[in-house]
Amino acid sequence: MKKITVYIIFLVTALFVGCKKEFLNKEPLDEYSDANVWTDSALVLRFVDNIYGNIHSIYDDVGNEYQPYAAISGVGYLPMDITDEGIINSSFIDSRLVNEEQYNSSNNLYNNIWTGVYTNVRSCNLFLSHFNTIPLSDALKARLAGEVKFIRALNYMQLYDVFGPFPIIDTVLTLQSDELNIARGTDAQCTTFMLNDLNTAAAVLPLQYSASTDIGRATKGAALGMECRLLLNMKEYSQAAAAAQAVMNLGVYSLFTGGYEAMFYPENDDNSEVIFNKEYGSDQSGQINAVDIYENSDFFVGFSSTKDCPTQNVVDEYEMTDGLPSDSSTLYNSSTPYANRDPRFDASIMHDGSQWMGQTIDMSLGSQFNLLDNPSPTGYMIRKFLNPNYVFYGNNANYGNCIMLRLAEIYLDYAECELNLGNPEEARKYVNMIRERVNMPDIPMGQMTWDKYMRERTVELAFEGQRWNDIRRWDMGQQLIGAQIYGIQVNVDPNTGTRTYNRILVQKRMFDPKMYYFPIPLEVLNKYPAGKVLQQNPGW
Amino acid sequence: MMTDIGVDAHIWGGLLGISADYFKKRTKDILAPPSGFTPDVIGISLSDQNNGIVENSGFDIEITHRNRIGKFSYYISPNATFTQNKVVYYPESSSIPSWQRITGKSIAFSPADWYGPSSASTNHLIGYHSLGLYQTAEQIAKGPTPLFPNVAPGDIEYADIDHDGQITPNDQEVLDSHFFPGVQYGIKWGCSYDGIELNVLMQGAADVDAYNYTSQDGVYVPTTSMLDHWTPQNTNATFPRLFLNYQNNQESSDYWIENTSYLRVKNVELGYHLPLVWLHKIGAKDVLVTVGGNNLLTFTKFKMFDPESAGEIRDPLMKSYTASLTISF
Repeated sequence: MKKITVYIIFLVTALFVGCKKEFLNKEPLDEYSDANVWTDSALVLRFVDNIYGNIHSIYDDVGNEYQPYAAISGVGYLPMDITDEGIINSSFIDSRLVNEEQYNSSNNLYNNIWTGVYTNVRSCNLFLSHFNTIPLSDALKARLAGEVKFIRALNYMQLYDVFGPFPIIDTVLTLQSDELNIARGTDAQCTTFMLNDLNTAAAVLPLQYSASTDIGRATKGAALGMECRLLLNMKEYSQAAAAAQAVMNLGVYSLFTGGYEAMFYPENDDNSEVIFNKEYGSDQSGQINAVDIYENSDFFVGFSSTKDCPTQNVVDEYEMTDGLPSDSSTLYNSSTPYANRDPRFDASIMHDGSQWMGQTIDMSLGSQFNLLDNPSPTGYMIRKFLNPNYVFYGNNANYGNCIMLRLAEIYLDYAECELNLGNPEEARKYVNMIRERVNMPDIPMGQMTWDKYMRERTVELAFEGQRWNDIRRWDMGQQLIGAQIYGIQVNVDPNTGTRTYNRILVQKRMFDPKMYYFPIPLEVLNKYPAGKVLQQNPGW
Repeated sequence: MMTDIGVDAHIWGGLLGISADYFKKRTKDILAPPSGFTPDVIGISLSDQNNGIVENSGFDIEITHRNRIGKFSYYISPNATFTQNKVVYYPESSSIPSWQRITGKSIAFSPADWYGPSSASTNHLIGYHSLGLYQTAEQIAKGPTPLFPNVAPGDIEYADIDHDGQITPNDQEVLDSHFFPGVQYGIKWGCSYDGIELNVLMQGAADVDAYNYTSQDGVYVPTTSMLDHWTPQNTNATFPRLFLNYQNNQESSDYWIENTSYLRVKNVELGYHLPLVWLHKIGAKDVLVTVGGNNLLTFTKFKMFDPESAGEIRDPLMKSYTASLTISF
């Protein structure tokens, strides 16, 4: 009896298993295999969305101080800390190494940018390699290909900004590829490649997207705008001016009128001035940033954090409300140095006396806003990008988008081109549009100078991440990267409560022209076999 | 694959015992990252492969001698282990100069440390070879161009290994130190006479170094070694000129490697069995009174903290004294 039972059970199981083909072949439940993705239209769309999420913006570096040394993606927090705009308040962040010219390839600065860009570029190349077989309509496919090329160009631009020419990869590489030891392209090859990608993208991308789920995707204006930025950095003034004109003529963008400071608030994500921004969405998408948590004063946050501090050098660039700089205006008063300033000053920088979240910020050393254990070395903290409605306790992530390109920059880029092409009046027109937005007086006719333009750009685009490129393009490294950095010391008389402000020297920086481009990290170079090592940047 | 040859002997009825062992172990298929020599342009993170081969070999010996002369008996049993290792194969790119490659060398792994040497690219310790401290500006000017432009007297001087007239990351080499002891030894000895007995355990390690991160870090844990820092008046100092976040002196180098050999009296116990005559009064079979201690004495050149912990645990070692009374019924 037992034997028969056993046989029956055995037969039934065998039949059951035998009936269902591939019963034991299961797909993993948490991943999609390559074969599955490219035949499923929904998954292809998700694939492209994911590429957007991996774009690196300046917000992504904030709060990353405790990455292992080789993985610090930028040099500290916001890139302002390696220029005259800012200084980090901690002594162990890598931006200090750059300030004091104490780095070389073995410090592996920006190693994360190198590996990150190539990972992103591979995703782009993977999409493009499957272009012919993707089950989507031709129009949609073409648009997605345009978006992907835009992102590829954007990534290569970030690499180019830091290191200069790079190995150009436009196919999907694997361990079986013939050649992995691809040399760096020439400058011309790299810029041509990026411009081609941007041109192709500009040709197919729409002006705007109607579906709310598509907000944040690359547009024609974004591609043209990035072309303008790249061409300007290449000092191709007429081509850059043409690209800028093309952006402006689209009729899609206008300067944001809801307030210079509010332009960066989360409720104004994707506003009329934004040409391209990185979307920070939700905990679920994993796209969050930590700007509010780290950059606010310790008083609000509850812990002592590393933060980026604006310098007196950049504060000096903000004019008084009469349009004159502080050293020549009658409106300037050294006992109330922050009164009657360009409104962008108060909107961008937290200073002694700022009103923020219902408090009056006291920047004297040791105050509850500027505690002794991690004070601001300059007497300032950053205000641009912060959300005044941010709720601190309760593990709230930041979802404010990071503006990567806005119309004001296009106006300024255009003005710079026109100045270089000998048309100061055309430049003056656009610079004045920027000034009018914040109710600053116009620059009068015939008085547009290069210095005024530089000051306008410094002030309008402060801390937004293009300063290093600007300084390199103007060849002002000695004055602006190797500058002496100043701050302000706020003294409060204990008896009278009078506040006095003294200028102090905070740091003496060093500069050498080889610093315009960062050394290719040793970790990157060491992976190439002898005889095929990438060429290092000159001087390193 | 392990080869082990040993000898166990007892001679002269226990007066002398020897136990000796020679071993050689070759471990292959160790996981190692192929990304060690695949350029990043591939754009994907590669999984480790079973590429690494390490060989450990060593020799172990223990000698025991016991004897009894009348009421006095004693024993002494020293032992020692000698070990060395060698990386037979580790995936490294051929562009890394031979003096920086760990293949073929005896290595000392150090755990990844947040503020550790910036040049430890594959978790082994490579660093500069130091020649002491720069004493004068002329010395700096005459020698190879230092790593960074603001190097001044009082800073650590590094050797120009590739002789190109400049100190560059190419001048780093594998720091061939033994972070695991080359020799570990111990001695157990004791004696007893009548009711008194004494047992002592001593142990030690030799041919062992540690990387002194604590002093090099400086910022977080200032140490007394900094009191002897370089100044124009104190040129024979052991610590460079005081610095804060100064890259030249924070580079990984053998300047910060210290000998942490030690011999420690680990355990001492002195006991006395009370005479049986006294015990009858309380009806006990045995009463043993002991006093003893742990970690009583350490002989070492390394004074900062416990040399046995090789710099990883930064708490001082606890010394303890015990006394006990055991009564058996």
